[in-house]
Amino acid sequence: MSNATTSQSSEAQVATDTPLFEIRDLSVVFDTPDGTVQVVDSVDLKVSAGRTLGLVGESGSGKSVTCLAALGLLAARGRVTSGQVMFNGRDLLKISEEEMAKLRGCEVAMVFQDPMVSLNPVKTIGWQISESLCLHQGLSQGGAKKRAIELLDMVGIPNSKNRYGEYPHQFSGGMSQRAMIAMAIACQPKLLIADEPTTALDVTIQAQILELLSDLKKELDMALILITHDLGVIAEAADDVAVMYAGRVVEEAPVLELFDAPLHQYTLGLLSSLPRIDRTVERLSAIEGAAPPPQEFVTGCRFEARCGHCDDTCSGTRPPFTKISATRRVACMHPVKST
Amino acid sequence: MTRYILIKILRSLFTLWIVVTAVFFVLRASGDPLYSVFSLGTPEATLDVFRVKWGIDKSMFEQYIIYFGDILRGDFGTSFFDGRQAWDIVMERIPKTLLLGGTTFSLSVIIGVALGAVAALNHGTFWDRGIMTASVASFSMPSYFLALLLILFFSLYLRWLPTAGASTWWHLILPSVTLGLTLSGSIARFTRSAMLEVLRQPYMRTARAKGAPRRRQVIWHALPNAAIPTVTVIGFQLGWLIGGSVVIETVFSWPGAGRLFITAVGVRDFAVVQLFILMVASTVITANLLVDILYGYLDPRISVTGDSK
Amino acid sequence: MSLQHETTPATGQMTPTRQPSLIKRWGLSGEWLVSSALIYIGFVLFVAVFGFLFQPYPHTQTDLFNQLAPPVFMGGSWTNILGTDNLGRDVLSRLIKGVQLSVLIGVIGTAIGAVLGSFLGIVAAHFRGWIEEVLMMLVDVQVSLPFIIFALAVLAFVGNSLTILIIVVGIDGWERYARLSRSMVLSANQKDYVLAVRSLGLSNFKIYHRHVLPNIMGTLIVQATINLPGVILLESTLSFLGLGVQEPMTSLGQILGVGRDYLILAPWIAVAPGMVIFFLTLSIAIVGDWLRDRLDPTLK
Repeated sequence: MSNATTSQSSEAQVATDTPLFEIRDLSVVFDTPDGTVQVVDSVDLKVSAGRTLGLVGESGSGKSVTCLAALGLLAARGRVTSGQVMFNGRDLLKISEEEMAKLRGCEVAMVFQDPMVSLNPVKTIGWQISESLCLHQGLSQGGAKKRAIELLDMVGIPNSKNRYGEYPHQFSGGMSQRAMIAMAIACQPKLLIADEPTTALDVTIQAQILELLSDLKKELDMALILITHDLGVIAEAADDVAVMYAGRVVEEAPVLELFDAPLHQYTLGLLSSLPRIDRTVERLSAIEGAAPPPQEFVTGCRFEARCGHCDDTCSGTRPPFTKISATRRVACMHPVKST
Repeated sequence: MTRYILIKILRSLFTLWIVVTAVFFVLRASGDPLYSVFSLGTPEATLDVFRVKWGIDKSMFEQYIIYFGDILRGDFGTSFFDGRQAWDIVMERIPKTLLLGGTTFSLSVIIGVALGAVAALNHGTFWDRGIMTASVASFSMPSYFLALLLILFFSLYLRWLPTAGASTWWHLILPSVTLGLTLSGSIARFTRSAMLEVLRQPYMRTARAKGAPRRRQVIWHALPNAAIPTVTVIGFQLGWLIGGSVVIETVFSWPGAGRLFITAVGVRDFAVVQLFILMVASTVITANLLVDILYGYLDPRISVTGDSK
Repeated sequence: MSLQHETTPATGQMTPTRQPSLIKRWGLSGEWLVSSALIYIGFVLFVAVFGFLFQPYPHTQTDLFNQLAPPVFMGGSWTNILGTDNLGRDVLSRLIKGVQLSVLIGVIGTAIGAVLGSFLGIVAAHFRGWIEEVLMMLVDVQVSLPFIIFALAVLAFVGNSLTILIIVVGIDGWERYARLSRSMVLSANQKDYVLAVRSLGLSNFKIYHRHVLPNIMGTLIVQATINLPGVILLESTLSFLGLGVQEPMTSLGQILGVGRDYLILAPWIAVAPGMVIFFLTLSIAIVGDWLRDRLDPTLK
């Protein structure tokens, strides 16, 4: 929680800035044998320079797809149907694939969930890191190698000179993820998107990787989007939070305010399922039921079926994403009254 | 790694020994070879002379020991028919066979891999379907029938290409196209499925996220991975190619070792048939051995563990 | 920005956009191909079984005054719809007879290979140890020699009869079933349900018969379908080279072998059986692919 406290002072100023990266009204559909399904529905997100946005939601809520779509990394069956992705004043959905390729790995980089399969098994770790450097910074082979070894040191890989020439299968999960991070930060990106970077790792390693990401963020002055389903990770590393449910963003808030006073019934449900040290709770409550699969997404509030506070107004119409304060928005007809 | 290769080599030699032995006994199971060489009325006394001369008066086991010893010394016996060394007879046919086989093999690998990669990269499109349909058609087609159709069209109807022989480069076209169509069809198919498998791996997304241009993704990230299973399959196709060239050499009267084999089989010429089979088996076994070793170079995961199985 | 959503009509359940996807379109054309293939296979099977009812002449009946007569569409008469061969034998009649024998050899040969190979594979997986070693070595030997060369040598030296031909053709591909069934049984033996029934004291035979075989049967049948075209092609090639089916019997490859010598004068003799084989193997390959995608995507 200490992270969030320090960043609180800069909140008011950040909110007025033009964000470094902003997703507006983004919708994504997938082609399946049974027709198309919409997996991301008019999502709005923004992150300002130097901030960490935690994007939290259950698996299948569309958080990874949103980010993949924003960088043009969707699989062939996925399509963006509407929206804008503004980065540094440019709409990434409008620029050509070549321009996009120049941007990816250079100004915007991404780290994926499972490092063991995200690294190319037949290329050395060093080759894979040097590749970004050669592609974007035009370094010579020797220069790239020198820089790659520095990067390996930077992400805390011991004995970096020897490990440069090793293959991914010789790396443990945690080390692979460090290598992935080295690859991503190779060109000092302005924005790093980390898609569940710790999910596939041992619990002890998770904390180290998060710490590494936070340190690097400060050191390189990057913005960070941290995709996770783990509220603990959010509490530890995020400045701002966006909560996604069933393909939509349902709540957006600075991290402390979210944990303190959640507005959406779903967020409240999520938080009630966490053990808290500042509150005495008789027993932890889980949210009844399960999130709907994309084929069963409705127009109205998608949390309705699992919500205890719904009425006629919830179904049929999409709850508007209403501004509550300068930094908070929520898409709920019956937001939680502050306690 | 050295130990791994050594074991592989020993195993290959053992396999070769089994092939040689099995072929020896299977061929002898056919009864006295002299009756197919000499006409029925030949006096027994004359036959006995030849039995002693060719060493087939002894028991089967003795013959086998002698035969095996001869092989080790590099003596592959003499042909029953023209009395020349089987080695000489086969070797004079090898250059033509290598010419046909080598041309076909290298062209098929290039064309097959390229088509397979194109199909995979355009998965689900017209190109993919077209290439795959052609590929299935190409290996459903009996090669000798394809040969006849090509002769019918290009030699008899258009009169562009010769039907038989091997005297000019023009003679090479029809036989290698016939053999190569089938071969590149199956190579394309395997390359495609290997590529498709690779293209959906997360590391390909990493390559894209890194900003590697499309061409670079394919050549530097996808192909080296897809090459691993493809190389094995191509290695196995060599056996198929040799089998196929026996048929095609016969159809086009190509003076190679395959056609020699068909002739030798027809007149039951032991020495020549045995040597041919021995050479084919050693070629295929060596090719598979090379593939195994190549595998170690292509796939860094193998050279460390020292075992692929 | 959020306001615009309030104006969207309340449709309740969101219906997927009705736009045919790529996969769907591919599926449709695939089904069209598969149905044509199935129809053709059905037709060939029908001819193989009931063809004798429509056979205009005995397939061996020669007519030396009517040699190399062209088929109807090349200006011939209706007495020999597909023309006659070098001995004046009716090509259509020979084709019907040839289909019969080719299909028979193909089916029996495939069955022999499937049963033999699967059995050996199961035995190897059950006993492990040196039995398994010997089997894997035999597989190595089989792989090291192109089968057609082995088949030609055996047929030429050991002699030639329909029985030997069927057995030789049947051996082709045994190693594929052996490898497949061996690896499947090895993994099945590790499965909980097999361990459970074994701990109940069921006999080995019953375990394989009731629990293991039904589970690997589907894959083996798909493999057999994939192998069938190869077996048919092998027989036709051997017969084409004159070492397969012998006169007075006839098969598609054998007719082609005769036709080869009369390619200039009478191309129909070779083309008719060639087309029949090509479309037959193509159809089976298409159906085999389809079956594999449907039933067993693990097979390569």
